[in-house]
Amino acid sequence: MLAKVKSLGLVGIQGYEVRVEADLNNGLPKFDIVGLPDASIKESKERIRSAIKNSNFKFPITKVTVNLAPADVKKEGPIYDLPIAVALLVCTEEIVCENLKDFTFIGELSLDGSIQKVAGVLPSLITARKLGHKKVIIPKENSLEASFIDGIDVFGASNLQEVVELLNGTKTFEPVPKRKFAELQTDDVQSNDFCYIRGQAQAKRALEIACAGGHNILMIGPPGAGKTMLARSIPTIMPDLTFDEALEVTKIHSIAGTLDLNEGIVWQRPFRSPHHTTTIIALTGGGRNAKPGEISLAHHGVLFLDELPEYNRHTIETLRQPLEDGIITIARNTATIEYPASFMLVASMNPCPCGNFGSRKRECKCSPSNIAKYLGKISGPLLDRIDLHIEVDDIAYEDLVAKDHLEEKSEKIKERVNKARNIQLQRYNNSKHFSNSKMTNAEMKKFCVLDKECEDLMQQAFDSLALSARAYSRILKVARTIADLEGEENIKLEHLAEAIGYRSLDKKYQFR
Amino acid sequence: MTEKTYLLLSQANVSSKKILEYIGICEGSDHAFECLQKGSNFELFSAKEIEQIENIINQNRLKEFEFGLNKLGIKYITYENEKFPERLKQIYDPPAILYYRGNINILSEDSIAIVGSRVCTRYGMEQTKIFSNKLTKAGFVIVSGLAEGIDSIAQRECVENGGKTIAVLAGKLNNIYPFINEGLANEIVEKGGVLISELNPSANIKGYHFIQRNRIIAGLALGVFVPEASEKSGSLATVNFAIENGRQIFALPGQVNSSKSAGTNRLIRSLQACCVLEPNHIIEQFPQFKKQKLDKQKAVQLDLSEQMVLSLLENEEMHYDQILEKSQMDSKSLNSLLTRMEIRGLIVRLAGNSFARKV
Repeated sequence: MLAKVKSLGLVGIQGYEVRVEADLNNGLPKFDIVGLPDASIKESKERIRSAIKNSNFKFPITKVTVNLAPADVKKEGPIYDLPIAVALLVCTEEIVCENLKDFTFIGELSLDGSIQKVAGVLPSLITARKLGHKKVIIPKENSLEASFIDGIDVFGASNLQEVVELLNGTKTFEPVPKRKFAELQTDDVQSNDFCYIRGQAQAKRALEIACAGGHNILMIGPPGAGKTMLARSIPTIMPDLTFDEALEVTKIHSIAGTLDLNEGIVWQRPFRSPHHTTTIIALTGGGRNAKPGEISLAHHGVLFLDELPEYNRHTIETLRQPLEDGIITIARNTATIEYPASFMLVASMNPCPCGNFGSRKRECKCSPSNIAKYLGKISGPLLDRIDLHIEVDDIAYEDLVAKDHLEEKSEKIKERVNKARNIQLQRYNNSKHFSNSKMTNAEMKKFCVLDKECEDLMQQAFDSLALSARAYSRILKVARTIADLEGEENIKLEHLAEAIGYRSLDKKYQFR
Repeated sequence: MTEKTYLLLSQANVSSKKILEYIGICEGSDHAFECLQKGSNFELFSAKEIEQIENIINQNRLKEFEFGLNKLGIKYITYENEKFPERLKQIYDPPAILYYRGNINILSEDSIAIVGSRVCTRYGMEQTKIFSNKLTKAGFVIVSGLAEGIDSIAQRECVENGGKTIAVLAGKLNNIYPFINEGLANEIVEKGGVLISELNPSANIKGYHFIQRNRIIAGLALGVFVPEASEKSGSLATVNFAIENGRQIFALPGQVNSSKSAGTNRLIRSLQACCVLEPNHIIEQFPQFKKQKLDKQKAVQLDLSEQMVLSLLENEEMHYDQILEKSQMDSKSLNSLLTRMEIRGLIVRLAGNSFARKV
């Protein structure tokens, strides 16, 4: 007897339908899986055999052939355990279900018949909904991932027995209850609140602008000045994720297996800080199965690179293209996969090898050529893509111990950031991005109109600071964000001047 | 014949002192060449030097050297050449041969050396620019060592103002040290200056070459000006050579607690150097040059907040946080104000987030 069961496969974050076919033939007992399975699927045989037996069902004592169609795409992962087991049970008539074709199955089996959690459930469900599948059975542990997908019934099953009962109709199961995204935005205690950081007014202001518009930022300062602390506090003032953004982010984290299954969705902007020993593959994604890398995991969030010059130069140069395009294309011989990678780059570095160049307190012992060499580790093209350069200096002792001096709380800053971000969300209602930093050229023409006064200033700045064309457009984008923070319709002179002021690194550190 | 003697001995890595001594013993460079062929008077040289000399003679490699120099665009003048500056001949240990690129005629012109620390402060940097600028405009040729810091700042300022400058290198002319000044070196040659070195282009550079070239700097110039030097700076070696050879020394005073000015302050205190406060103090020592007018600040229209910031920066550079505190402004308007002032050329932004009045 022949059985056909539906399942889903993933290439990157894009899904496709997989049909699992099982057939019993006369012959010596044998279990074959065809249709380009990888090693973990070939091992499925053993798990399925035991799982069926230990769930008190019969395993067919004949020649069993399983096909995963389409047969020309390589399948990977243990998610086909459940559909194969179901197909076999249909063959042996343990399952008698008339509307089997309404169901889609994803899940890994363990030997005792229980269903284990798998990666990539959310993108699979989104595909299932697109393909018009009606009911999906997934591992119970993944069921929270399903709670935000409307228009499709998802059942969380904890073992094979339950699946059989559900299909045979001997027991009724409720689909996973839906949740509302807005309800997730709960207040939690922030340990990295900005109010704990004393002084650094300029840095805080720049971070506020960076967060509001999603701009890249570079912090330079002597060791111990508080660069890392400032960076760690960024999540507390990042604008809230919108539902669309959250789904995109969750898709990636679901595939990478980094999703918190107790949450089921990523509802806070990710903050990724890979160590400086990171490899290119770990950063950009890739490897045998072309997994998403740190830059994709930081999608719609922050990628923090502490001590930027310590990174392998080739590694950080790979950031150039994603910084511009917001996606990364990974080409491997098995597949070419595109992952979104629209992140906000936050980097920190010392101004020189000893770290004290420009410090008010300590003397720098580096020779000019050593400093130039150190700064030269970060290429011009990369620096050009960073909109805001700020210097973080040691703060004075009086500021450090002042008790009566109350710093602004993250909450307050976040309020302003959210307000500015909402203006942007409305403005870019019809485009694919959400922030000023990703503005297209056409949009810039429309939204970044300069008056005569501003144009004169830009002209002077262009000459005196020797800006590149890219710098020009990036300054305009930052100016737009500053204007949004002020709630202004048009960019004004002071907004533009402030934006220009954040791009002065290259000039300051020249030794002429 | 004359020049070949010098070239041969220089290529054999014989020191200038010995070259001149040998030529003296052999009664003239023409005769010295014959002596070299015959191998007479060789007791002056070390075994290694003799081996190299014989090597060059036996394998007839002198042509090869000349061809190589030609290819690199490097020329040379010897002690006996008419273009060899008189002033340089008068020092205790003059170079026997000078390899050069550029306009050799300026070696005999009236020149002043500007030397100082490689790691310099902003004060040193600014003053060096002012002095180099005015001395260039007064007509001096600027001599220096093309090192990082004061040297290259002085020479760049000179070149940018259409002046001529002599860069005395310790190393080879085909391999500029430090590497980052290679662009400047080419510019010096293009703008009518000259790069000179005593070291032959196939030799290896050693630490003592740096000290030795300082005597050439001191020898070429009428006087030596030190804008900034720490207690152990190499520029003080130049000063010592200059004192030995009767050149005038000028030093710029610095803050008494600044280690970067300790050397210059000591020179002034011990009366070895003439204390100068402005470029004219140097120029007036040389009656053939005309004093220069100092630049006046251009009158610009300032609004109240700009005036306030400028008055804050009147005497010292100030960190952003201090300006923020003293000006009572919020950080967004201050950021904007400072940038506008920077673009207008009223202030400069320094490393470490400090600001200063532009000079």
